[in-house]
Amino acid sequence: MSVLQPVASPAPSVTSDPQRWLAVGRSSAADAERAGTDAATAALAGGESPGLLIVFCSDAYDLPALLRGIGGVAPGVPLVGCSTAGEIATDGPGDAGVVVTALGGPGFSVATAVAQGVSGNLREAAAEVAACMEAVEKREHSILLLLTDGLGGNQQDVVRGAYGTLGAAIPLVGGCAGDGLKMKRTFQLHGGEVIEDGIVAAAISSDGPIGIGVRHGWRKVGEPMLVTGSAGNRVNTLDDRPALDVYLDRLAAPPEARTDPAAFTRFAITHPLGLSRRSGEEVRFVGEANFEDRSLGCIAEVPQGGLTWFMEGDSDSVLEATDAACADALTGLDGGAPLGFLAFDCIARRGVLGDEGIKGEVARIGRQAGGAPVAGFYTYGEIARTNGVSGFHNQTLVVLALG
Amino acid sequence: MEPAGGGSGSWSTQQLSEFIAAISGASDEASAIRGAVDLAAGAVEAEVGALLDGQEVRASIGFPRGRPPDAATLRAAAESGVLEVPGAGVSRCIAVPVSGAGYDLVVARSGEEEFSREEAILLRAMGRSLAQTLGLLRSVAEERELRQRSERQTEANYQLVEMLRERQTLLERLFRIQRSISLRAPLEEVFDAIAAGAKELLGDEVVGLRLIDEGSPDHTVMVACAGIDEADYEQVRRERLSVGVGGRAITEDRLVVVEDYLSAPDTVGYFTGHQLQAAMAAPVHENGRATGSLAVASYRPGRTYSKAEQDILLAFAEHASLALSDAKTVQKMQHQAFHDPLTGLPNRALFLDRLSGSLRRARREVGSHLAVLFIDLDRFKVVNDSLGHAAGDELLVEVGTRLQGCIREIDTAARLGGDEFAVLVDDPRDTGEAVLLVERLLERLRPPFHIGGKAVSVGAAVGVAMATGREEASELLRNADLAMYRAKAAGGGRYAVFEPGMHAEVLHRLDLEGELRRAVAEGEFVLHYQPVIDLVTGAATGAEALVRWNHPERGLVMPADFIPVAEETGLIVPLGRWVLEEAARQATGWQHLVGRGRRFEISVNLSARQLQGPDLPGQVAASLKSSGLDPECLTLELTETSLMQDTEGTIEQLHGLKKLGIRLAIDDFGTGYSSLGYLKRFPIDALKIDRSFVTGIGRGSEESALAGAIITLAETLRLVTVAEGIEEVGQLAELRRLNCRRGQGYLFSKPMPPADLEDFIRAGAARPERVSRRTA
Repeated sequence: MSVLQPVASPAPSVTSDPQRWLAVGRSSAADAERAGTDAATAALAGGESPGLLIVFCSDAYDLPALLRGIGGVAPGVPLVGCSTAGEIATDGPGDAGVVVTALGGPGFSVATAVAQGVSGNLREAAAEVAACMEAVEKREHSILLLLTDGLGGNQQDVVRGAYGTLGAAIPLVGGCAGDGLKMKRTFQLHGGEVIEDGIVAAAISSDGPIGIGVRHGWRKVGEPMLVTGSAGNRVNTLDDRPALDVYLDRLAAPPEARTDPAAFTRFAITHPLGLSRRSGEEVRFVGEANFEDRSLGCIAEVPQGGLTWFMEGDSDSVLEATDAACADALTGLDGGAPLGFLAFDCIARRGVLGDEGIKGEVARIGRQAGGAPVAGFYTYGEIARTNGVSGFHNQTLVVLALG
Repeated sequence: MEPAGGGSGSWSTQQLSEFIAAISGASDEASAIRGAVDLAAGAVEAEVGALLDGQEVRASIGFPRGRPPDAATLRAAAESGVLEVPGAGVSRCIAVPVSGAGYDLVVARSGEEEFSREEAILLRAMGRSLAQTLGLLRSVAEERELRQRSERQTEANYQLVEMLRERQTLLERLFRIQRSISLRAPLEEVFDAIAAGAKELLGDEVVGLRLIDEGSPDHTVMVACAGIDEADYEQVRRERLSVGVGGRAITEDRLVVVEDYLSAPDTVGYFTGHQLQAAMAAPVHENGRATGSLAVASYRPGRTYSKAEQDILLAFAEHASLALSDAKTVQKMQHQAFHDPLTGLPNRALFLDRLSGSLRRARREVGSHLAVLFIDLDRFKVVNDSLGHAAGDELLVEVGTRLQGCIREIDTAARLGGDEFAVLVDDPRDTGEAVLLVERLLERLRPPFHIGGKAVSVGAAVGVAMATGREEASELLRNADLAMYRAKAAGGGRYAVFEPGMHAEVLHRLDLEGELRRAVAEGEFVLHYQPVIDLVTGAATGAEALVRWNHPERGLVMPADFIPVAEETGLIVPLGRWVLEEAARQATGWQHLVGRGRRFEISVNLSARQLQGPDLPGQVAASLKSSGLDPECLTLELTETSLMQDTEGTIEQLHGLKKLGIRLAIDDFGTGYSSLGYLKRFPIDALKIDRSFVTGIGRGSEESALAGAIITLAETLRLVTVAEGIEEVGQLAELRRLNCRRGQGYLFSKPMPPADLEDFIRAGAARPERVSRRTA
């Protein structure tokens, strides 16, 4: 693992700009460098003294070229980002594109950090990157944005590590990078660098308020199963039978999901597992299956000795959750209008809504934002810690409202 | 919050079983503690958590930069129920003990909502299971440390042997000498062999081995030599200690090498006269003290001694030391025949001898008294078993020292053997004075002993017997022993004064033992059976066999009145064998009473002694064969304590039993060690939840939480759970809610004779939903 020094934002220059601004640009140009240049140029038009660029892009791009394109128009501006399973912008969802969010103005202070090769020690790595919070100027409100590789280990450890450094005062938000549902490798972006198996963090302090909403819209169905064998994210047996067999049989999975990994993942994103917790259920995204040893791979820990349920959701419940998450985020702004929304939306919700449905969902988010810009991506796991020590979610929509 | 549904209780039971499963998998104390803090805080959605060890915070989560407030602040917060958490504001705070480990687990949650009773119980149960895991991890760590130490020692020995191997000839010589030492050859022969060996290996013309003259310590005497004419021997036999290389090696206690003998100071006149050129001498020690020397010398000009040659001389001198020390030890054995080698205290023989002398004197002198104290340590076996024999020995030495420290000079303290000591109190004014001494003595033994870096507490039971003037020494000691037995029975850490009535008690016990022997020989036992019920269907799935003694005069005697004596005398082995055979025989006959395709299972208790017997699997196989019982119908019940003795041997024995196809259950689960880590190592099929959990069970009780966790974990480990001692409908309802599979107790039936059990089975087969109806 390597941790780079936090990069502080340049000192604000005296301008006639508003105190804080946020703007979003997007491009679906086929050429990576060109796409980077276009999206960044559009975002930078939002104001002067940009403090941070947040980049969500398709993994199909030549990512170093994409970052070159962005760097060409925004030299020296701190940058964090990741690959996705679909990008979200004000004008709707999309694939195979790039969405760049820029925020700036003297009302924000930003620092970033990165750690690489982290899957063996997620907790320590997250604790170190979170320390970049010390490099930002103290403002009334702060938040740590985390973009991680959800395919590499128990992401609850990322939350625990960052929480261990920052404590209860600083909320954590973010998501796990995607790769268009291939479930093979995801990328994290920091400055001009493209890395894998990494964590990137942006510490943001602001004079304006910050709101966070977290909702999933899934419910338990049927009889519970006992997790008789699991280790971390891997579920080996349920009710003493191979977990994959129980899963396929009880859900009456289609034949192709029984042999083809891609078909399995497409089926599994709308059939998560649920765990019982003090204030309701936690959802576990089933990412992949091992057809040899008949085990299931989840994006977060499924503890042995506990019970688990199948969860179901439909368009109505998922869209209700969308509205509720946005409303919760706005509550945090104390009645003020948002500068913009960042949305970390689980790929599973996209699976339920379908390609047409997600257009409607993003439009809803846009309406709730009251015309303010929206950016986000479809994730392999979501981070939102506002109370308690836990804060890693699956199948969930996390909305961050910056005021 | 919606309930979690299903049969295994609420979200908190879920959290507890996940907690236990995670914590019992930790490989070291630090990760167990860190995991426990994370999981406990996570379970109740608290912002912060910490584990306090006295004034130290051992682990924490949720405080900025990982810096928690100090332990005193956190304790005070838990006391007041409120903690100001940076970033989370005023939070509710609660602490629970990690019992046994001496730690406290603290969590705090933001907001106004108090921790509910359910949450407090959950946290307490987490504290309890963390303590259990830490206890286990500590004993594992100690075992590992011991193993590593022994590996290091082996390595050191290996290196030593390697080095010596290069000196094959030397080694062979030394082995021969060692052999004659160990065979206790006369000391002169050993010394001659050493002298000859040194001469051969070093090639010098003269060799001499001298010892300090015991009669005149400023002189040495030659005890073995080579290369000196017999005619000249008398001239060199006796020398002053201050003269020659041999004398210097003794006084300076080091190897002395002189390569220009003629110009050296303090030489021996005889040798300078013969133009001796060079000499070297090494000290010979007796139990660490230089009391002699081994010297070689040469007339050859230019003779020098290499490092290798110096080492060879030292090796021979070392063997001379060994032989000398050994010989002195033999001399001391005379002394040791009357002393305990470990503590140096008089042994039983000497104690009885002195006691006889004192008794004779007491009889002569009217009005004189004599008291004998018999002291037996409590918990000595625990120390010996858990810390090893060396620690046990160390403890005995310390006890001996403390005993010596609180008696008068005229009294005699002795070690009788094992952990038994005795004190002869010579001429106390009266019983009161002897008792005062006993109280002082118990007081002295009370503070912990520091053994191998650990504080170890052992108490003692003391029996006091006053001489009446008629007893023999051995009789008086036996009386004190009897009184000690009474003190021990009262709970240890006490004393009892002998009364003649105690003989009767012992006689009664001896009678019982005799009768029990007869009863075993004549088959005076019967079996009663208590049905085991499927808590869902209400059908009897089997029964536990319980032995009763059908005494010709006293009628039915319950196990509590004779099993302890049977255990102590070993009669439990033939009795246990009979129970097994009889139960298997009767159970075979009952199989046709249950429906087709169903089995009636029989459980038989197995004592620790039976478990350690040499051919248990063979016996069980024979019982199965002679009765024709399907092995799957037989369950052997073992207690946790018996499983913890000789773990490796036990596991092997259990696997031998499992190969027969029978089932194994742990009886009284939860009362002993109850470690999950251990459970996974044993091939167990069922857990019997101890009645103490069942008695206290009820929604929201700590017992329910723990029973629920045991049941959930048993499911995880694929074990059947059987609750013992169910007496009330409420207990049954709660156990069913917790998903307990089976149960037994007075609610269903008392233990009953075989004929009644047959009726019970028949009735149950006709109305399988009996229990459901009764509890509806």
